[in-house]
Parts: sequence; C-alpha cells; structure tokens
Amino acid sequence: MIPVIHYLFLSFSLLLIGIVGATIRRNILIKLFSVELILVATSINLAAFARLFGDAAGQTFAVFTIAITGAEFLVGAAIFAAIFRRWHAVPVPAAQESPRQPSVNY
Amino acid sequence: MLSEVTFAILAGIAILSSVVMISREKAAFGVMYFVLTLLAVAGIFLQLHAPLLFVAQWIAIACLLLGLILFAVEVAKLDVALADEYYWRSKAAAVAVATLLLIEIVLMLVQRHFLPGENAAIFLPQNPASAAPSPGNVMKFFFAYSQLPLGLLLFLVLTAVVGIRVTFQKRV
Amino acid sequence: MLTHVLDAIRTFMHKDGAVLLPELELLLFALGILAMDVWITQRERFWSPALALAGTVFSGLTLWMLRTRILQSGDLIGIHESVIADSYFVFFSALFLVATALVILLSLNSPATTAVNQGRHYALLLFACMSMMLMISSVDLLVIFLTLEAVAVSSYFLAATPGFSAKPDPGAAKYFLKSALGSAIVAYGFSLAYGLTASTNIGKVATGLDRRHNLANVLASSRHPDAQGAQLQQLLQTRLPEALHWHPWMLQALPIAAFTLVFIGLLIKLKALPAHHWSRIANSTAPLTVTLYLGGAFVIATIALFLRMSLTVFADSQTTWWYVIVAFSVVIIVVGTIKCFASSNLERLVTYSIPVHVGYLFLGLVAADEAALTAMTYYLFAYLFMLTGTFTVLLALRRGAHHNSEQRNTVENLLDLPGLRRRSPITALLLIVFVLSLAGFPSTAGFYWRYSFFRALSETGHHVLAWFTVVAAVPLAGAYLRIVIYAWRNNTSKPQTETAPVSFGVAEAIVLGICLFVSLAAGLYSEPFTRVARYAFGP
Repeated sequence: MIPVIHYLFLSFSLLLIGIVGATIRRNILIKLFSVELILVATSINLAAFARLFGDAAGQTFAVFTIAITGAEFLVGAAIFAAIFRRWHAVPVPAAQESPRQPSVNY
Repeated sequence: MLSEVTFAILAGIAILSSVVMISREKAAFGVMYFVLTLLAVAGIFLQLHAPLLFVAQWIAIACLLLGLILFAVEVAKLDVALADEYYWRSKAAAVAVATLLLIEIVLMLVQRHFLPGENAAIFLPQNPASAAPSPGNVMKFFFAYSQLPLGLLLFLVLTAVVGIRVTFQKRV
Repeated sequence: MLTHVLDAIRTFMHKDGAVLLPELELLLFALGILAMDVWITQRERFWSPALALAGTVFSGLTLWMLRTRILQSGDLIGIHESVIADSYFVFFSALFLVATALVILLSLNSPATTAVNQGRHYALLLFACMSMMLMISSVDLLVIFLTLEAVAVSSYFLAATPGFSAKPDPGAAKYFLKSALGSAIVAYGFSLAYGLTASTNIGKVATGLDRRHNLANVLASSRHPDAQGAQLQQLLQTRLPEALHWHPWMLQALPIAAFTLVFIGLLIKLKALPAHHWSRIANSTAPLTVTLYLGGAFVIATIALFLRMSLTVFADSQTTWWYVIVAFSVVIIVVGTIKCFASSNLERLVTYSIPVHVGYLFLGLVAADEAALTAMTYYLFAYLFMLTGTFTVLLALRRGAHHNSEQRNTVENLLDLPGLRRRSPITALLLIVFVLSLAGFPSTAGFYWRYSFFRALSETGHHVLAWFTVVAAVPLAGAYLRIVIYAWRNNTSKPQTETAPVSFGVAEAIVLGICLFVSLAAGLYSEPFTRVARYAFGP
C-alpha cells in the first residue's frame, strides 16, 4: 500500500497549483478550472483517508465533493454566459436600415 | 512495486497537465489539459480501491464536457480576461504560493531521509484498516446516512435553476 | 396508503424534522411563490413579496416554538447527528429572518420592470435565508460544506441579479470566482480535519484534534531536561515508543494547516464582496438591496459559521493559531481603512468598510471569554441594523437615477452630498445617525460595542490589541465622518437646480424606523440587547 503521505503531497501540490492559477490568470475560464482543481485535490485527500481508515464516510464525502465540482462549474458557466453574452449582431448590408433582431432571446 | 510506479505515473500526469493548464493562453486548450488532469485523478481513485469515485469522476468529466458544449457558443466569447486594478497583489500572492509549492516539492524529495516510518507526520486517530471500504459498504452507508446531503444537493440544484431564471432576463 | 404517508411525515416532523422545521417552512413559501409566479398578472405583483414576508414571519414563529422546546428539553439534534437546533442556531436564524424581511420590505419600492420585483427574486431570497439557517444548524463537516455551497450559490445568483440594464453586474463574475476559491480552500481544510480524526461530526473532530494537541504538549514537555521531562519520557517509552522519534511540531503541522486553510478560505469569502472592481468609471449596476443583503446577512452567516467552528473544532489549539488571526485582522483593518479613505463613491465606501468591521470581530475571537463572545454577537446584531439603515438612505438618495435623463437628483458620490440638508433635512440627519453609529460615536450601538470589546480584550490581558482597536477606530471614524461633513455642508459649488425632495416609501419608513431604534437604543440602553446577544451561547 502506498503511504498516505504521498497522496497528501499530491493533493497539496494540486491545491497550490490551483491557488496560483486562480490568482495569477486573468482568463475567467482558467480561473474557474483552477478552483475546480482545488476541489479535485480535496476529493483525492478524502479518498486516500477513506482507504487508510476503511471508512465509507470519506468516500461518500468525496462523491459529494465531485458532485459539487460539476455543479459549481455549471453555475459559473451560466453566470459568465449571462454577463458576457453579446447579442449576435450580424453584419448588415448597407441597404438595410435597422439591424437584425438578436437570434437568442432570453 | 507496480502500484508505486502506477501512482508515480498518474500523479505525474495530473500535476504536469494541471501546470500546463494554468499556463495556456487560450481557454479551449486549458479545457483539454484539465480533462487530462481529471482522467489521471480518476486513475488514482481506482488505485485507492474506490470504484464508485472512479465512476463519479467520469460522470463529472462528462458533465463538464456537456456543460461546455451547451455553452459552446459562449466559450469562444467567454475567453474573457478580467481587468484587475490591483493585479500586483494577485501576482504577489501567486509568487508566495509558488514558493510554498517549491518548498513542498523539495520536502517531498527529502522526506524519506528524516521522517521515520511510512505514515510520517500523521499520527493516526485509529489503526489503519487492512482493506478499503467495499463498494457495497459504501452504498449501504450512502443510503443510511446521506439523505440530508442528497437533499441539500437537490436543493442546491433547485436554487441554481431559480437563479439561472433570475439572471437571464429579457430587456424590458 | 395515504395514512401511511401522513404517518411517516408526522413521525419525521416530530423527531428529525423538528430541527429543520423553520427551513422547511421557508422552502414551502418559496415554492409557493415560484408556483404563483406563473399565473399572477402585473397588477397582482404585490402577492410575491407579501408571501415572502409571510414566510419569514411564519418561520420566525416556528423558531420561537423551537426555542421554547429547547428551553424545556435541551438542544435538539437530528438526522444522524448532523444538524442541531441550539440557542446559537435560534439567535442567528432570527437574525437572518429579520435581515431577509428588511430586504424584502426595501425591494417593494423598486420599479416594476426590474428583476428585483419579480417573484423569482423573492424565492431566491428565501432560498438564501434557508441555506444560511441550515449552515448554522449543521454540525457535520459534509453538511457544513454542502450548506456553505448552497449559501454560496444563492449569493452568486443574487449578485448576478440584473439591475436596470437587464444584464448582471460584471463584478458578479469576480465575486463568483473569489467566493468559489474560498469555498474550495475551506473544503480542503475540512478534508484534512477528517483525515486527522477519521470522523466528520465536528464534536468528534474536536475531541480528536484535542487528543493530538495534548500528545504534542506531552512530547514537547518530555524534551525538557528537568525531572518532569524525564518522567514523561518514561511514560512515553512504555505507552507510545514510536512517538519519541517525532518532533511535536509534526503532530501540530496538519491541524494548524487545517485551521489555517479553513480560516483563509472563509476570509477570502468575506473579502469577496462585490466591491465593483470591474471599472473605475462605472458605478455598480447591481441593485442596492442585493449589495446590502450580501454585505449584511451573508457576512454575518460566514462569521457565525467560523465562530462555531472555532469554538468547537479548533477550540483547544487556541494559543497556536491566534497569531494567525491577529496578523490577518490587523492587515485587513489597515488595508480596509485606507481603501475607505480612497473611495468617494458612497456605496463603495460603505462596502469597503465591511471588511474592517470583520477584522475587528476576528480580534474579539482572540479574547474568547464570555464577555468578548457576547460583544461579538451583540455587534453582529447591531451591525445588521446599522448597515440596513445606511443602505436604505442610500437607496432613497439613488432613486430616480435611471429614470431622469439628467440624473441631477441622484446622490452617488460624496461630492453630490452638499445641499442635502436643504433638500431634505430628515435624510441628512438619518444618514448622519447611521454613519456615526457605524463609526462608533458615543450613545450609539457602535460605541457600546467598541467599549465592551475594549474591556473584554483588556480584561483577558491583551492590552496591546485593546489599544490597537481604539487607535485603529479613529481613521475609520474619520472616513465615515467625511460623509457626515459632506452631508452637513451647504451646496455652494454646484448651481442650484430643481431638486425634488428625497422621499421614502411606507416600507422604507418602517425599515428606517426599526434600524434607527436599534442603532440608538442599543447604544443608550443596551441591557436587553446584551441579554439577547448572550442568549446565543446558552439560554
């Protein structure tokens, strides 16, 4: 069996890489993925401790963490889409007066 | 021996691809490397005798890709950079954290020399079990004790649905 | 079959469900609002806030019944010991319900076309209140994390509520990212806490960490060259020979890491307030009521969670981590005060001052005796009303911003304030009272809190910190006094234009009355309020 400390080192590295990515990158999607990386590190931690103690509670916690990872990504993507959406302004020929209506109508 | 090698390979892939992910210019390439990280972590879950987590991780990857496809029209536009008045502070914090990471890597490489025993730095609260919890036990535990967390997760999804409806407004 | 279902529901409600009853009521009302929202017409719009208010009132009544039951038969624990209903929960849930009710009242006067005046928004407010109540009542790490995420998700969507432009404020993206980072770091801290103690119930986690801390102390003492050290070494030789190889720091490293990560994560969440970094030029487009709710109720919820965790899980290693707290608090107070001075936008000024108040509160954690903790809950109680009052006045001052093309009547900036006294002396006076209360002027709630804080810190021996709170309060008061000075000035620079008097709606008047009463009464005659604050730690 691999010592638990190895898994701790791995998850701690992923935690730090996630924090660096979330602070230093300006791109919002990369920031979001860095945050998800931290949650992935959490689930590695929990799975490793569950293996160590033979405890099912750890694995259950890890399953919920993975679920939250996915849910948070979807929530974030929805908020970004709401904020940064642009109406599709199709280039109009010169003859037309008014621009076309946006094709996406929320 | 084989498990150590497998773990080293999977961990190496996870860490390397996460480093590459945070250094990509385009978000689309970042997505690719993030999925690679998640796959490596799924392999690690399998090694930890947690098949349920392995499956859950694959489902999470599928959800991620599905979400990206749903917002695919927006992903190209979501390649947005946030302006930050105090960017130097974020940079300082990132430098500090990167230093911590380097210290940790050094510690990882030298730890076998000065930390006695296998599970050094952890004084276990109980004896280590000989085997990981079997999937059957995990499911039993899940059904017995996870009603409230599951309800909370559903409540979270409900909040998200209502919130999405609030956020996407027509101009009146 | 129906009787079976009803029996099952009745049994659930008597045992485990009783703990969750206030939250379930809010859920019911929120679902009712959502269902009703499909059918009501524009003219019947008022039913949504009415139902939301009714929900908070009914939930409050249920909370009162729960309180009586706790008095009779002790704390209620439910659902496999993962949620608790104790006096701490009753106190903070009441605070959240009051905050929600006040914000609902304030939203009544928003124009009909905004997002704020739709049924879904009120449902989202109720969901947020419910999540916060659940968060305070949870005592299992998994449930705390899930409820923290639920609170966070409702706060993200509240922050992304479109203002007048039908598009969310871009600051909401930044808020989301920072808050998500905070939650993720807290989750990592929780995973470490689980790993150290093999349990997710915070009581058992506390016992496990306590045992580790004691062992570390024994190890440290055994290294001493005196007789007691030799004795302890003998003891360890017989009981735990392998522990002799380890340095005591090894035992403490991971618990300290767990605590630091949870603390940093919650701090990031607190500092992630949508302070509108997006653009220096544009003012925020988020509704003011939302900013108030985020800066008031959510901040109180996060601090209450941290307080619960500090008092249970991390209680025993107090001496090791209070350096961390003090360092962070001092930095936050100093930086926040500087930012307060630097901003001239009224809303931003008040929002930037929130982290400073948070910093003060964390200093109170250092003293951690009954007086200091009572002072903390007392301040959280008064802070809610002071902030609500300030924002109500700002709301009235900002009204008409997007209806007039000239935007002459609006007051967004400090520089717009002169002349307010002539336009509406009542508004100027109210603004001054609330701002002075936040600044800690004598005879207001803010002063009484600072005084009890100072006394608690000195009595427990932290004299330097006590005097630091006094000294650091002066620049903050100065930042607030700028508002007072500008509001009292006459308008000599700008040309006199046709300015309409500032008006308050009925609902806003009610909110102002309540907030004014608490801000002044809690300072002048604080006995009943202190008793209410002390109730949080035991009936």
